[in-house]
Amino acid sequence: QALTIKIATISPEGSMWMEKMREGASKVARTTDNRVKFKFYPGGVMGNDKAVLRKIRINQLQGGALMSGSLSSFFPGNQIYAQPMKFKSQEEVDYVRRHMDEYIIKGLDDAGFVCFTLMGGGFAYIMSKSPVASIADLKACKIWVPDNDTMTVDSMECFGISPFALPLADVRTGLQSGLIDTVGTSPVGAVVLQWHTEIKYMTNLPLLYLYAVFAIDKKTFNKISPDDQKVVSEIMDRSLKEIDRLNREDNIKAIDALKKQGIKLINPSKEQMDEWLAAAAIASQKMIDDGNLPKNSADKVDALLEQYRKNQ
Amino acid sequence: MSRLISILHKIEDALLVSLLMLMIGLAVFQIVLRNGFDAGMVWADPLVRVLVLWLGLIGAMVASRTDNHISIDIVSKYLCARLKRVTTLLVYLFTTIVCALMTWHSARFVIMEKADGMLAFFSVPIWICELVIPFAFGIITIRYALFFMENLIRIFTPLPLKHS
Amino acid sequence: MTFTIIGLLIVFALMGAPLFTVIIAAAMYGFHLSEIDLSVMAIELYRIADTPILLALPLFTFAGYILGESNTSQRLVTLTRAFLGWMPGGLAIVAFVVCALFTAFTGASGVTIVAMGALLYPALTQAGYTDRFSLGLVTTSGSLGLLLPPSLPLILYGIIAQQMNGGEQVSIENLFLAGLFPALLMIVMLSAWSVWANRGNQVPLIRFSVRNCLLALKAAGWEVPLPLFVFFGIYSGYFAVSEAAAVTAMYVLVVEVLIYREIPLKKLPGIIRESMVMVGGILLILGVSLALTNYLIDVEAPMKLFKFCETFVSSKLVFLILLNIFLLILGAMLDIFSAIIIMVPLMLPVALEYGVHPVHLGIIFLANMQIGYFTPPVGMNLFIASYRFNKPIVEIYRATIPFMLVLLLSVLIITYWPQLSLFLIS
Ligand code: NA
Ligand code: NA
Repeated sequence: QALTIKIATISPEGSMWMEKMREGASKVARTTDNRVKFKFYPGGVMGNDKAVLRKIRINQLQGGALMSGSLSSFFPGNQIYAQPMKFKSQEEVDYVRRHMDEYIIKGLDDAGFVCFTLMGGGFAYIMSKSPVASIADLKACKIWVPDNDTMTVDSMECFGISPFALPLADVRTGLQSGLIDTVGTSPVGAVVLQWHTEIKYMTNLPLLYLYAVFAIDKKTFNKISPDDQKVVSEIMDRSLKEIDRLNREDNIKAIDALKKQGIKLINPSKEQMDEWLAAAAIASQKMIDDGNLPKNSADKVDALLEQYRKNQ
Repeated sequence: MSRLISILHKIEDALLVSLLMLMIGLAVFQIVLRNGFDAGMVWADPLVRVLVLWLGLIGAMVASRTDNHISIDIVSKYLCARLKRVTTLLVYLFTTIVCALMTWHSARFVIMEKADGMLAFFSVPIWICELVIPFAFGIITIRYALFFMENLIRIFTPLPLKHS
Repeated sequence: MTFTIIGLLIVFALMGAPLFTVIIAAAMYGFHLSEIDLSVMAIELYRIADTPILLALPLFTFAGYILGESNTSQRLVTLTRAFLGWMPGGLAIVAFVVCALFTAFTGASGVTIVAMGALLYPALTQAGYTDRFSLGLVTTSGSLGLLLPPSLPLILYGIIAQQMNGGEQVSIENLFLAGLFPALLMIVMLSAWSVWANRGNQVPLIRFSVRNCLLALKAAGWEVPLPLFVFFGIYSGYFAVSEAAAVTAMYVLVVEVLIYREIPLKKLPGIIRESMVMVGGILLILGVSLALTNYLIDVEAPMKLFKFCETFVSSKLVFLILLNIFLLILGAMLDIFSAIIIMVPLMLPVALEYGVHPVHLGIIFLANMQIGYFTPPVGMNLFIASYRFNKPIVEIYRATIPFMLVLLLSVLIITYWPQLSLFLIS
């Protein structure tokens, strides 16, 4: 019999993410003769990720396209990519992801969420009105963090920074008025949200690797016949991989757009770099100590990175 | 009974005053810290937001003391006294039932949240912050149930004869 | 079955059941039909604690109640008279300006008529304006200023539009900017009409005196900076809107209680209680409406509504005309907060489909609501004025109608000239 899977996301209608997800959904419906259908609630109309997870629990929704951090209380291991300044380049991420994505997908599956493939969102960078090269520079800034994001706040505190929490909708006006002068976001994010017209500098130092998951409640997924499950997984995998790929292209384009806008890249010196990395290492350690990150999988990421860097 | 009620009223009033003062104080202190000392208390913002919910719901509790909620009361102006008693009784019954349902389902919500064990700020669990929802609706239910009883009794006592 | 239930709920609403219970019942019935666990009601209600800007609601409300209880109104009238009283029609203009400012801060809860009317009505009649003109003016002015920052209805519209995926362009700051010129237009048109209506009437003018101005300024020295620092605080980036609310609340509390000493500490708990009862009423309706809205989105009601409209309404222009008529009726029947909370979620998606800018829609919405306050037969301010000035309601109707026509004209201009609202926000 027919099953409708309701998915909420904060991605706005008309965005590339929504287009690709809808594309996958209609292909699923066609291939399964409407036995499996998706219904989307874009633009955050179902509330933030926390509210969406509550609604998944009571089965009003059966899934969501969520920021990875939102699922960390179900499976802390999904935060291994969210360690500050862990990766120096997209290639490093690619290498580690090739080995570790499976671990995250498996972990989330055990925690009750079927996630298919992960959707990378590129790096967040520090973007600011005055140049930020050192930690001391950053401390002098009024830096924004999303409200409801304790993880980011915690890692900020390791840099000795007390950030300013505002809802996403108020960031642009906050930048315009000078209430805040620094944001951490991906190049695509900066362009899409029109923040790039308000900033002048971008610190050339990958701050955080961002990714999202398309999570379906496992109880619901198990109601689908095994044959159809295979169809859904295959088609959605393909659509989400497409999102992953397009995100990467978009980020490269976005960096060009930022440069065209006249935004200057700030390259920290060797000493400043060491200082950043030392503080970042403390932040990672704190995540482990607080139980927000399993130690053995964090070690595994470190080992993979070492291996990759040796081979370069 | 009436002493109990007046104690409850005092508690509600005191809560409103102290929560509002705490809210103003925290919010202003945050501004001073941020602009004067480039510092801030991370827990203050979520706490202040929870205070908004608490103030609102306790305010709603107090409003139901005197059945002083926003309503569209167009019909009752045109009803005779006898009919009006009936509609008032029905309205109180309706309100009591709806609020009781809301109390029940929000209590279930809080129990689910307790099982989840998520934290709001510091080490304060979210379910503690949410507890105000079933509590406030519980009190509102009781108040409207009492209005209903009062009116039910009155409907069975004859109208007072007018002496001139 | 569903129609019976909807009918029954409407009957209960009209019989005077608290609006929030009617909304809860409707939402619960809907969720029940969709086989969704009813604890979703509490999930939605708790979203109040996830909406940072809502902080502005209790804080501005409290500040407004404090201002309403102290002698701010008197000082404001003295001050404005000293500056504007020399102009032809000066006192009428004074009335419009002070009422607009006062309403912006006290949220059009009827406080303006009660507090300002008591000062302005005798002043106007003594100055030689006719009784009817004065009555009409005071009643009309009770809702003037809804479009000026930091008006609560404007903030509430912004909050709801943001929840509805109206996009980041519906920020409160943008709404504040958008309201400035439409509000100014209303004041200018009303003033112009007042001058013209009294052209044959010998109203003595007050002579302008620098000394009087300075004295009035000094008397209101603590209150004059208030609108300035709220507005410039927000736009210079010193405060977020919710922070401006906190500073305003603290400032007003200190000024009226400790400096002017017009509110004894003993009276403070009572004022807090009254203001929080109002906040509670609004927040409760807001919270449960989030649930009803959530259900309507779940069943794609706004899209269906738009499809339905599309078969009758082909152009944006026709849509706007119908919108105006509908809002005027709505404004006369429902209080402004409930109207915003209940109607905006349904109306915004439809208006967006017709190409109406969400910020412009907010201004149109409030401008119409403002007239709804004194639309016969049931506009709230008509009753307040009738009660306050001890006049039969029919006399109030007759007195306000010319003012209403002027404001209707201004609402038409505001509706069909979007740039008036939007040019400040690029
Ligand atoms: Na009102
Ligand atoms: Na009204």
